[in-house]
Amino acid sequence: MVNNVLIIAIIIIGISMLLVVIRFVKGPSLPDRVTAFDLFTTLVIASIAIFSLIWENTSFLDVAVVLSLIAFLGAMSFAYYILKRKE
Amino acid sequence: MINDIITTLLVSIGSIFMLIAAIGILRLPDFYLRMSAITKASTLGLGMVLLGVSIHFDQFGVFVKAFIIITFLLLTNPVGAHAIARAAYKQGVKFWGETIVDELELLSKKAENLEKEWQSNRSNFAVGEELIYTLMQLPASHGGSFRKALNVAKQIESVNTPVGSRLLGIVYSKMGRFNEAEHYLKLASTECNFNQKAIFSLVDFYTENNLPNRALNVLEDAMQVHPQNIEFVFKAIFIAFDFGVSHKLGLACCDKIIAMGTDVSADYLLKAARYKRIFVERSIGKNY
Repeated sequence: MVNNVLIIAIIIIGISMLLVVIRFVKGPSLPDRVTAFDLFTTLVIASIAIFSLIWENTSFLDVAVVLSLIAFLGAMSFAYYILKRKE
Repeated sequence: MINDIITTLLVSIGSIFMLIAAIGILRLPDFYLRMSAITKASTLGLGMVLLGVSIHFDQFGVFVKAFIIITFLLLTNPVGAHAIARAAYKQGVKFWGETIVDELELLSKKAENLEKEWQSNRSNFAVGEELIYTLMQLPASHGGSFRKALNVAKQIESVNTPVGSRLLGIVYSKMGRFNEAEHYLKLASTECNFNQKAIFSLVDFYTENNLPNRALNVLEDAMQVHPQNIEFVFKAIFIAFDFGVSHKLGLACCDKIIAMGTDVSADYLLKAARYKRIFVERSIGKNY
């Protein structure tokens, strides 16, 4: 039962990733794409957490920690880039 | 068993929150709305999923890792969202048609209009004063600067010393230059014979810098010049009450108002009596 629920959760997160990718491709401006990318990273972290549940392996969580750090750095550096670039 | 139920509940609710965030990013009409939708939803969703993971494994190490990720998420998501939204606003990303208030835009328009009016008519000090306040509120990216405000204040000062030096003092106090601000505000209050506006700016400046005794000294001087002005007396009472200093002066002020009797409105008398009771209780050592 637990495994079925986890698989359904993974599928839901996959669908959300698809929606985010559509926004990433469509996004009329650069900030749109940056936020879409930010949400995508969050979804990847969530899917890593759920995979660690499915495979009963806790060492995947280290990847999630690092990824959450990198996502923040990426968002901040993109914000700085948007602020400083000239049209 | 119960652990499994809690884990599945948390994970499924968390993933549904993330789905809602993804639908929001796809469907909402403009960038700022998308921003606000996804940061909240994704923070909550990921937090729930990680909580579920830490409950399932029931180990200290896993709990610490999940806790680190959740704390980091709560700290960084708002900061990142704020930074990106700010950058987007400065780049001029459009609002959708139905946004009605853009306060920064309104403020910068106001500053422009006031500046035009000020350029055409330099003898209207009210416009100049308004312009100075607006310039100090605006961020630097939209043309607000202390230097401009200072220039306007200097122009006013060259024509009308008391008003100009009061404004100069206010600008300097906002810039954090204590000595200049004190000098100009004192000049203003002596120059225009203890005018209420000038005195209040000086008193506010002292109270902002946590110097209640100096503020009370200024008010005492002002009260000697204008014994009929009730506003000064009440200001002194408020400062003595807020900072808990100089109960003697506070009591004297209350007595003064009560002694005026029917010359002042009943409201003032009631207030004075109430404050007097507090001052008396404080001065005999009863604190509350």
